[in-house]
Amino acid sequence: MDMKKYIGKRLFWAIISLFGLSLFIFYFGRIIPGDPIEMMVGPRTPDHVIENLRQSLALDRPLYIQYFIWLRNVFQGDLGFSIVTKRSVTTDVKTYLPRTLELITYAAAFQIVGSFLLGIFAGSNINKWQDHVIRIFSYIGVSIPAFVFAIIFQLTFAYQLGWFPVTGALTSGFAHPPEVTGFLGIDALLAGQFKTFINFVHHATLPAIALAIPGTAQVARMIRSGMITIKQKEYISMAKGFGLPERTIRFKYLLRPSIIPGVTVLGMQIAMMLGNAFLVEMVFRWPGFSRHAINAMLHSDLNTIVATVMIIGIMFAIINLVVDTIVAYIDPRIRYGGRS
Amino acid sequence: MAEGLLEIKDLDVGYKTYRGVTSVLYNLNLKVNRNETIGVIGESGCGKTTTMKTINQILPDNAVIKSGEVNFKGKDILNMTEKELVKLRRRNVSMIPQDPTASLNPLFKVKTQMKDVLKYSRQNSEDLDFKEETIKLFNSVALSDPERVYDSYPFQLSGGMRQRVCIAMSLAAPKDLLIADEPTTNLDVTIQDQVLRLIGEILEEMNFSAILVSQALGLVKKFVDKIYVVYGGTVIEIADTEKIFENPIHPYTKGLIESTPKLTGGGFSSGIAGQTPDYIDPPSGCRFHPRCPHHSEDCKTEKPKMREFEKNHYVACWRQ
Ligand SMILES: Nc1ncnc2c1ncn2[C@@H]1O[C@H](COP(=O)(O)OP(=O)(O)OP(=O)(O)O)[C@@H](O)[C@H]1O
Ligand SMILES: [Mg+2]
Repeated sequence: MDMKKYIGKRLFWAIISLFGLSLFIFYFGRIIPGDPIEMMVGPRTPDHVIENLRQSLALDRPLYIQYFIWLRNVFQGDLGFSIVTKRSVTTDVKTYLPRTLELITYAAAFQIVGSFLLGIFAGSNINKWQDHVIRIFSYIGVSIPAFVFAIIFQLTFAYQLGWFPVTGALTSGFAHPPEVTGFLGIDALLAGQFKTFINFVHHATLPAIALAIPGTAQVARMIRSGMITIKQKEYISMAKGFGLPERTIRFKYLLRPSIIPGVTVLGMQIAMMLGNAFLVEMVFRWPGFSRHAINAMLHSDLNTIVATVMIIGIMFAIINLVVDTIVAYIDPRIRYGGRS
Repeated sequence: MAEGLLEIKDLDVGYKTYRGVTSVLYNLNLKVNRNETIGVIGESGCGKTTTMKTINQILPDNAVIKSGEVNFKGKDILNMTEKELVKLRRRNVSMIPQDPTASLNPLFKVKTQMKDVLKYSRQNSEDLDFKEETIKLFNSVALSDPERVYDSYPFQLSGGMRQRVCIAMSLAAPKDLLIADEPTTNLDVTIQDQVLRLIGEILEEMNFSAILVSQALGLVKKFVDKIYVVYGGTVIEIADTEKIFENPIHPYTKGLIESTPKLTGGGFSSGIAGQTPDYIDPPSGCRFHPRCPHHSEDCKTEKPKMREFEKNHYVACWRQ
């Protein structure tokens, strides 16, 4: 039905935004820094060498041609070299990004389950003690950044209580599974190395929870307040008036409209985790991309920075698309165009 | 003495607001006999919906029932357990809402909402063909193209269609009392008449006891046996329908009869100077006195009692 058309439309806009982003990145990475040739060569390089270099890099061509050449390189996975790792940026991305994506996926799972449970529980017990307890958690969660939780958890549950490993992604001595997908967890499962998988998850748990808390707190509050708002709607009174049971009203007719704002924010929170993961990865020495990117930024490693911005952009575009699709699924008014 | 189905006695209801608790309904008394249809008439904001929602206990969370009784078949609804209330809503009392657009859930198809209403208000609904029953109901409320309506979301329907869907829901199972709370106020003028006629037919056919709520006396006079005029949360005049038109006693009732409904469909202007009372700090004595052209000192100090003016005609006014 109209769902396909709707997704198509969203997809189109996602691509347009990414195109816009790529223009920005090109400008940012190629134009602002000045003449790339001068940065490459020494001061006493003969003119004809410079001219040859300029031609071979197509820097003598018009800007829009340069842009398309650059874009083609990006699509071919050529993102240039990193001055920090002295490797191709693509290699760095392939090494570090999967770790971060795994961490974010794990954190997102905590966030989705946690925010829904807490939000619905609070919204179903407005002004009772359950609600107050959850509100206190929410205030703390919203007002303290993720990396502080990371430090607190590390000190408490790793150092002091010893329930979790302090740093890293795998205990040394655990062999990495043969690389198939590049995702450690998945590769371990594919290779049947369940102990490795468990060890990996064990390492990821504290950073994932720390990363998930601020968003969980915020989304839980939104779901709670959504439930309060919708509870006052006439259609809820009427459903009650027609003798529908409390359970049906709460989990069907009340819940669905209540979660819409929460779902939108949940998506944003998950997309923003890539940024928030920077410091959490530092604390836990998680071998992830965020930590790597911070390092690049501190060293003005332009190519890596460009790659980072691009990855964050793509991540936002994908999550936006997913969120829009989910919201359109929940709310038919959006699917059928224009809310009344 | 006719047999009472519903009897509201000295009902006081208010709302918690940021300014304090209001006093909306104030000593409200009302009675519906079996097979009787009454009209409840009053300006916007006089507490009609509040009264109706007290009957099946679907008031908003901030409502406070301070005192009174709502006896239904001799049992006080205000003392019922949640379980008894659910049963009351399923078996005894139905309500047609004031605003059909706000009363249907925008995220669920009509068929889903209809199905749940049927499932829980019909007895032995396990072996019910919900679609068949729904279409039957839609036909009985003269919904054109019932198959399409069945498979639509509420926002894909016109206001009149939505109200017919709501009426169909309220007819899903046989009940003792049908409450129609200004069923046409939020509809286009052209549709108002059709929907009102439909409700009239239903009342005639089904032998319901019914309460028809309206802001305009003229609108309901064809359908009701008796009229209750409400002002500021209390009943100020009760009479058989013809009598109220022949011989209105209360100045407020007179004002209502003299004024005419606005044709713009935007409700009704009473033609009586002034506004409905502020329910945080309502006027002392007779709540109508600040607007009453004839008020005396008595009116300011004490609430007038309901007195029999003539047979089947009661009025609460110091001048009588
Ligand atoms: N949830 C609420 N919280 C606070 N005050 C309320 C609430 N609902 C209604 N009121 C107030 O109670 C008074 C009576 O409202 P009610 O809806 O019963 O009037 P009504 O006679 O049905 O009016 P209308 O003809 O406009 O529907 C009004 O002053 C209204 O503002
Ligand atoms: Mg009303």
